[in-house]
Amino acid sequence: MATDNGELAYLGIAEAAGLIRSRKLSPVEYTQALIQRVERHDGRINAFLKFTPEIALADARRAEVEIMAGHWRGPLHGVPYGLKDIVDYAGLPTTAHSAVLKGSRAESDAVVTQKLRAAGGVFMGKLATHEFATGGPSFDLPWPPARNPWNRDHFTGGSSSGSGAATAAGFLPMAIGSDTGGSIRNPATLCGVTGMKATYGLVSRRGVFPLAYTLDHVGALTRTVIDSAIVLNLLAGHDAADPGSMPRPVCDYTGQIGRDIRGLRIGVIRHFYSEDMVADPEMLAAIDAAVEVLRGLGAEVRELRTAPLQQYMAVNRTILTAEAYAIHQQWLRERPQDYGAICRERFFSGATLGAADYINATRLRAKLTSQFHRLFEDIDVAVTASALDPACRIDDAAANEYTYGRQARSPFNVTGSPAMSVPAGFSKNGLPLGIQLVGAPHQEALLFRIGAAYEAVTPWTRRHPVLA
Amino acid sequence: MARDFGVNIQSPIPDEVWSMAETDSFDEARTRQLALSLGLNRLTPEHLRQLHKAAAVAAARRGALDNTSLTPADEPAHVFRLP
Repeated sequence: MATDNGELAYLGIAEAAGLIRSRKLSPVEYTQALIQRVERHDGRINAFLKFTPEIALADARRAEVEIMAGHWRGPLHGVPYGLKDIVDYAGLPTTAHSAVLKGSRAESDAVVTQKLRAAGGVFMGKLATHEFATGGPSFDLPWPPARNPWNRDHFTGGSSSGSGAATAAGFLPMAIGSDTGGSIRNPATLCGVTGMKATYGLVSRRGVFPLAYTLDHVGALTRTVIDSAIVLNLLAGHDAADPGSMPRPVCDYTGQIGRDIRGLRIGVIRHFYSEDMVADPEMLAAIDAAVEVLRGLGAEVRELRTAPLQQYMAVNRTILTAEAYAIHQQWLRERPQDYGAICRERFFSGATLGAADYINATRLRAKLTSQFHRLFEDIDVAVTASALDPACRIDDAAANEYTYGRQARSPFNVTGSPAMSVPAGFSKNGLPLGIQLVGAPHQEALLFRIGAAYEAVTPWTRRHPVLA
Repeated sequence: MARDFGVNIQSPIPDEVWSMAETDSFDEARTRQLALSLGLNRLTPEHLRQLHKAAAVAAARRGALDNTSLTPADEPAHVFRLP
């Protein structure tokens, strides 16, 4: 049984899984509905770099046969997903949205792809990214940049731009992204969806084109908190072949959802967005309002101070650009013209760093991380801004450059902490706003609990963009 | 004179190149000298402008690193470990 296209477009994973398992929803009909939606609207959104409806239908038919035979694999079985185009899917190009890798072909699946395929997920295609997960929005690449479904004249955030756009547009209930300085959480905030960057080392990075080895995280964008937890249940786990992977048992990340948050100690890192950099008034008001909602739910809220945002940012960007330049040095020497202007310039900033700059940044990282983690002796979760501004116009290069560094996400790539962006309202002109929840290492389940409690009493995730 | 990084480690890039990178005025010849010192010998004038700007950005980030808080005992976040 299928409902109409509009209802299926915004079905969450948790709901879809229940319907599919009980045979009230056909994976084939679900997939066909989303394929039609992509075909109808993606010409204006540009979320997909490579749309693969033939693979999706084959996956969906296989899922349907298995489920009808009584072999339900779990909540991703028969559910569509997409991959940021830095994530390998065997036999398809991994372009990183760059002419540098145009024509490449992945020989094997990334670990996250393996897990999604083994879970019976329905692969819909490869999604737009900023070039090599850093340079965008760019108009000088082989493919156009993704556009924000809430207003296609505006930026999606990045670098997981197609993942944010596809999830918000109702093309997919879940998309894989990556996060080195905030690249899952930024498009999540600006597109009005949920983005979780779990603890460093919890999700394997193998088969994902690196931006910066010691800062890269892989994770999912979804429309709801519970869906994010369901996906993390699948993705989390030790990978002995990923040097950053942590040999540590995982838990049921949905396990605390539904529990109240009375008595939980929440520290608000307000100086990040009210002193160190001053957020747009609408964003600031939305964050303050969200904090009051959490207080109203019984959390004990207090303000918290850590090192200035600029210190974290300097450490993140120094490490990021140094490691990225090491990866791209040879290509930049041999074929600099194959990069887009924004990406090339960002990678060049790593070229002029000295070895001591990089090493000192990592020494400061160790200090900042130690200091930040000690804060959790007195709090359970921290709350702060994600983006400091709503999405600017996508064609306003100056505004994009200005807002690029105006964010409070990079600190948690430095510290490796789990951090999740959750929708927190809309600006007067209808663009999404968001907050960020941050935990101690391996406290994802607690973040999901608080995020779900907030989501349950606010209307934000139940609103969807109207696609023209 | 070696650039002061807050610890006693010297930069391999000459000081005049650093100082050029940290100013706003673009000098194509000097930027090309920087590019050549980095092995970037296929850059167009547009690329050189980007390199010049990128060097200034990197210098600003370098300046924002609070190296004065580091002591010799402060080790990097990732150190060599045997399996």
